[in-house]
Amino acid sequence: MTAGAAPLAPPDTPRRPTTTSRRRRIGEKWYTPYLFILPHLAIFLVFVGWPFIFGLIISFQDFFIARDRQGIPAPWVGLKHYIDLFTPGSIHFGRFWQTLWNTVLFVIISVPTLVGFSLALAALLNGRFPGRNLFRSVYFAPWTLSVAVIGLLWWWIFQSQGGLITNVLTALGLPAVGWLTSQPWAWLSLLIATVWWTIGFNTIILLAGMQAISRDLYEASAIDGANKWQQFKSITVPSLRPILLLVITLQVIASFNLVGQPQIITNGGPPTAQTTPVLLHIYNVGFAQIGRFELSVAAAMSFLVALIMVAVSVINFRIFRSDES
Amino acid sequence: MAEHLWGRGRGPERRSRRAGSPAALVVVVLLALLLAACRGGTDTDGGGGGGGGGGESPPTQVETLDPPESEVTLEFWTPFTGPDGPFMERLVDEFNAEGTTVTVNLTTQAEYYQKLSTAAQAGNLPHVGVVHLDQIPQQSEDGIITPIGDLVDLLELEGGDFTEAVWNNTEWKGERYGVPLDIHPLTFYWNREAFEEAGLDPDAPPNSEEEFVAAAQALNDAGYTGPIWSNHGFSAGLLWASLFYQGGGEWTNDDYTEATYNSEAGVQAAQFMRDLVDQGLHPSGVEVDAELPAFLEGSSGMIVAGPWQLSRLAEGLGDNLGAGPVPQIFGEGVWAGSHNLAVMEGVSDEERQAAYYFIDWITRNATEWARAGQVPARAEVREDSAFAEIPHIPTIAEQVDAAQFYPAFPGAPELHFGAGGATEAVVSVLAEGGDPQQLLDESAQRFTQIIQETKERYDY
Repeated sequence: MTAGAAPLAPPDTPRRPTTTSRRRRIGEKWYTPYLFILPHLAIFLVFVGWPFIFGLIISFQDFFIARDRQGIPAPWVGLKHYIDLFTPGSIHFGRFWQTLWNTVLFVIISVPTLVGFSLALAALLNGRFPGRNLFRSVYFAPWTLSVAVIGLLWWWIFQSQGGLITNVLTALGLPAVGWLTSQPWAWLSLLIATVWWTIGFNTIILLAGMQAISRDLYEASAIDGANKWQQFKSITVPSLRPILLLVITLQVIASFNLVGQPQIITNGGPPTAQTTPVLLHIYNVGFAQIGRFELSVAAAMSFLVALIMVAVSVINFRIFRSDES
Repeated sequence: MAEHLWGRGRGPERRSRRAGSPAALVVVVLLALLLAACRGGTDTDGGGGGGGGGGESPPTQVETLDPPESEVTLEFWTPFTGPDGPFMERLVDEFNAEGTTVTVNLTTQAEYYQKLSTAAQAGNLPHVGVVHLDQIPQQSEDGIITPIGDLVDLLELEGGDFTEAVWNNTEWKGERYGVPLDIHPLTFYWNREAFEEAGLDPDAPPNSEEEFVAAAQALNDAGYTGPIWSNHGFSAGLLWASLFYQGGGEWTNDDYTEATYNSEAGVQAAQFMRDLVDQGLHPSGVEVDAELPAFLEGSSGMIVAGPWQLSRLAEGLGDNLGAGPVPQIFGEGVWAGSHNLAVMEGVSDEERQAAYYFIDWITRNATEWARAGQVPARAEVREDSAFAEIPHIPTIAEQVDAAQFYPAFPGAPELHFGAGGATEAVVSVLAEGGDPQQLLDESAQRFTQIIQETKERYDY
């Protein structure tokens, strides 16, 4: 500590940057940090910022891109699209809420499954046994594949005219099931494919968290007579709380973003749109209706979904924050 | 050291207050620039003429069907991602080999109309493109295809050269937009060996309701339990549409303000297909396109599919393949589409000359295209002796006069293929039961709203 009295008021003469106490590298200017973020900022503005603003604008219009290109002005309709989405009987009402419910359903069935299985898997992989690293790689490997690859793969496994599972069931004399064309099997197929694909990610994160837990706790509890399950319940899980929060939040968001698997594996599911998640529906409305790319309606729907996801994230954080001691 | 502590607390604050404004200014300027750039971008682009209609500038009249005097390279886009694709490639290669001033680059595009739409935005449209007959009104309204009335005059084409249904639908708001290349009606394929094993005559495919159900029963009994269709717009949907036409069904009323496919004809068609499922003669849930591998590997004795699958099925079954018109269960009628050739927006006069020459050449050489499974649209080609020698196609072509198309207004095919359209209702009936009348009613109600909006938007 210094010998002199520490002044409580800030010095009132501005100092040259190189002599103030914030450590600087030689040659660093005030704008250096901003230059570093500028490339990402530029890309962000072009691919996220501008579309966000543009989407907001067109959600208040009846915007058709082909007509806009020909110079026909898009009429302003104010909140019409948003109101229609809450008006039973309008063209887009039914499908929007149905697909939104599909998404929520998928979140409900996938988050506990994916978090639970990955927790169990991480616990299993936490021990010391030969081949441990091999198993870790094997469980993580599917995560490196793209959704198109896993979609095609699981389509071939599940499809009923010669798919792998159908052939096995038939060979065993068991009745074949329409894995992709009937409920509840369609959701189950999507869930299985998603679990196989993404479980590695959660597992690795939880495994890293587990390895940070001090061994002393386990030894102490073993001396007190705790068995493996008690150790898991009382030491592992509470210690993982912040990481579990992260994994659950990420998983909720990822499940809300479900698009690729239904599009490729069930094509939106048994009619009508039974496994279409809301984001896929938005894509279909905006980009798949030939000649009627209803970008304005899609934009309005995506803003509503964004609001809902913000609300869900806020609730998520509130729940877990109030639990922390 | 305390100075250090204080400095740590103060320095960055002061600096950010000083440095904050310029940084924020940079961000705002960037944002403003982006906004201005993107706003400005939407007002440009060729085909200027504003409001209503197609918005294209009237093209210069082309005088002759000769190739242009200087070298021109044309970009030609097609959606032929199926087994018929290579046939068009061969045709284009043949054209290029003739060594005229025109060279054609063929590109096959999946998601064809989406690609056209984005290409138009980017100013990257091809010069010539295939356009489906039922897409002509929409693509014209979207400013993607241009009128080619002068080409039609030069080719001296008239209604009698084609089927009337095709010829009428190449016109939209008084202008002609396409030269028909082919008609592709839904096709009935059967496995001759399977028919023999089931006690059916391989040369006399079923052609009535009783014969069809009997054939399905016989094939099932002989072990051929595979599907006839898959639960998909291009399979079950097309069969339903054919049966719907056979029953006298109409998609809409005369002025395109009401969807009428929930009529008796529509319900009857859906019920017939569902009855086959209920009687155990057909699986209820069949994945998209699964009827094709089932037919190829011999678990299906008969299927319906597009004629564009002909080469693939012929390769798989060889002489065992039977192909012909869709059975007339409720009368005459079959779903059909038609590929047309169109000239795209943004083409120069010389390129237009080259395009006309190319289109003329292709339609005259359509016999080769027939080998791909596409029935040539021009009557004179169908009457040619070379055509009669192609396997299967002449038989498939017998149903050409019964071929029906979607009504000619923008977005008409969506009544069938669109979300909440007829196909969804039909597949729902097939996969899960459900009342055909109720499901078709809901669907027709939805589309009545949609086509009324469309009519208002495009003013016809």
